[in-house]
Amino acid sequence: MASAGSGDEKAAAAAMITLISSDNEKFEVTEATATLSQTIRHMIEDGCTDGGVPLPNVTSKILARVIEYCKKHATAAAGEEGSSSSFSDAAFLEVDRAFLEELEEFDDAFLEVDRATLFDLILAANYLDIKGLLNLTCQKVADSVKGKTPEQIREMYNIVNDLTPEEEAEIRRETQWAFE
Amino acid sequence: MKKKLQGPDLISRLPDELLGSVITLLPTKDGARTQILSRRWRPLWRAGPLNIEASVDGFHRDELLASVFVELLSTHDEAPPVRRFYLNVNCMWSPVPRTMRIVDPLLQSPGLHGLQEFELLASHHVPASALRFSPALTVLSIRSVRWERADEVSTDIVCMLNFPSLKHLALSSIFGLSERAIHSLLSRCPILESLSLCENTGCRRIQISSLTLRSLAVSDGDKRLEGKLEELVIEDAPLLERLIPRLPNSGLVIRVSRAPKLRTLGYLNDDINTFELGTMLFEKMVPVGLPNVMRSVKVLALLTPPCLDLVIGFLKCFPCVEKLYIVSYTKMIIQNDQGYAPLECLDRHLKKMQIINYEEDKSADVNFIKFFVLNARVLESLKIVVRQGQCDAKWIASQHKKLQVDARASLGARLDFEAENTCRFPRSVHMKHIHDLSMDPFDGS
Repeated sequence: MASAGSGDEKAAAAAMITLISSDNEKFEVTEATATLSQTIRHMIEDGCTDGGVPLPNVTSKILARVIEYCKKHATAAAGEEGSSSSFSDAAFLEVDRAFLEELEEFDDAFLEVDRATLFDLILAANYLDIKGLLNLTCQKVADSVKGKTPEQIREMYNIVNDLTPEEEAEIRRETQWAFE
Repeated sequence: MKKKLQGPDLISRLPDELLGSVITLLPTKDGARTQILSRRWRPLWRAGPLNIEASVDGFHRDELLASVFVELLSTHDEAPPVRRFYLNVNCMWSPVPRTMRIVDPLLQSPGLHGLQEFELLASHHVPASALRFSPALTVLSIRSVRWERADEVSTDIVCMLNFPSLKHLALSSIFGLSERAIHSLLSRCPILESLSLCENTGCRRIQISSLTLRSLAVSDGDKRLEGKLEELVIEDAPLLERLIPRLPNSGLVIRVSRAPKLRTLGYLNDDINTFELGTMLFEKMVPVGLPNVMRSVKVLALLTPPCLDLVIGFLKCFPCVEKLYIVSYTKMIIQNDQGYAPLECLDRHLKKMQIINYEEDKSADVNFIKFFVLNARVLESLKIVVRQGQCDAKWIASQHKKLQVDARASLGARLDFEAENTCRFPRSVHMKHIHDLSMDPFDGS
């Protein structure tokens, strides 16, 4: 029994990955957490993660948040993919609904950030190729735009309208149905 | 025009591709309006992937709109990809050929090749061209609103399709969907997770074995419907989590041989003639023989008179139920005497209960709820939706007395009353809730 236990620990230790942010901060995460990122998954598969994975596009502040997201979602993802051996018994279907509700609550709370952080998260999710996080953050932006007039959207996001009145009229004419 | 802007334009830091991902999540009109935000945004919506919602009812206005989409989707060199396409074809107020003249070119658009989500709502005629997308589809929903005999769906066409990516399939009110067509269709959906088959005709018996299916909703339809489904057999569904018989039902037989992960079940009702689950057998809601128990079921929904004998019979069969949803209707005089042996479900599992259509002037209703108040030891929340009137503080206090809330078995239980003036039936288990496996389909429905 004891030897089996230490074997598991060894496997777990071997499965730790070091992520290095643009400002040179190091984060130790499990492989299950890290591989929510397809980008990192490919690096692991190619065997180029020794000595840490440098992520020059992501600051430590954003990386910490991304890791927080990945940790929370790693269990669910492991179940979904079925064969990820590191979560032997956490088969997705056995995961209690309460956990999924908790996950939803987590996501809602996770998105309570200022706009600058939200866009940083989108960029990081895109760069790291984390589909769930990208969908979540893009949906948040879409929800904020839904039902608003162009004027309100420009104001909300400080978008400078550089269209000439003629161009604007042309767009309205071409897509009249959208402005009725 | 000139507005003082505060702070930098953050959203424009996103590359076009990501702005496109945001735009595709917007409803069609909102998406199209983003063209006018600025020069940078102008080409993005047209580049797709598009989210298009179109209604065609043969009126001039719709013709114009549809022609906009046809033009947009038919630019042969560079048609933008479409992610989601919702099409509502209504032939009720205009001749079918006229409407189809608008719809057919839309459905033939080159831009629809990589379509991922397609939802079609068609009054009386499902165009054959609607079935031509398939390789990239993850969601397919076809609902027909039929008032008269419509064209049958060609079995030959259906049998030629492949849906390698399809996860959610819903077919409702489709005329002449043969047994062979349904079975052939299902065999061509290798990763299907959720399936909804409601009120179709042309198929008496459906037999399902699926290693991937997790959610199944079914309804045979109104009893006047000819050629409707009579029997649903689930032979082996190792991942099936939820089975949702929807209303209306009129004599449907459901037999489930093997669904070891079944967790969510309902609304069961006495319009289901026979319901067989492993060794359990219910005929018109009444258990036959001495069934084994099924411990995987955690969420149970029943459409039933407030009859303790009946509901407790169910809780004996499903001893681990944590959430119990009841839509009650009055049918007979029920005493609801309170003498029952202790139940595992009430002692250890039942945490949440909801009863819709409570009538406070009926002793059966009062006794029914009182039993749960006095015996559910780990209950956390009890929600009572009252058929009429208003729930003011004085009224609630009188109900607390009637239901003996002071003597409740679970001191932590919260009681909520809600007034609703319409009689509510669970037909309204929403499609969205059926397909979204992270949601409790009965909560808030």
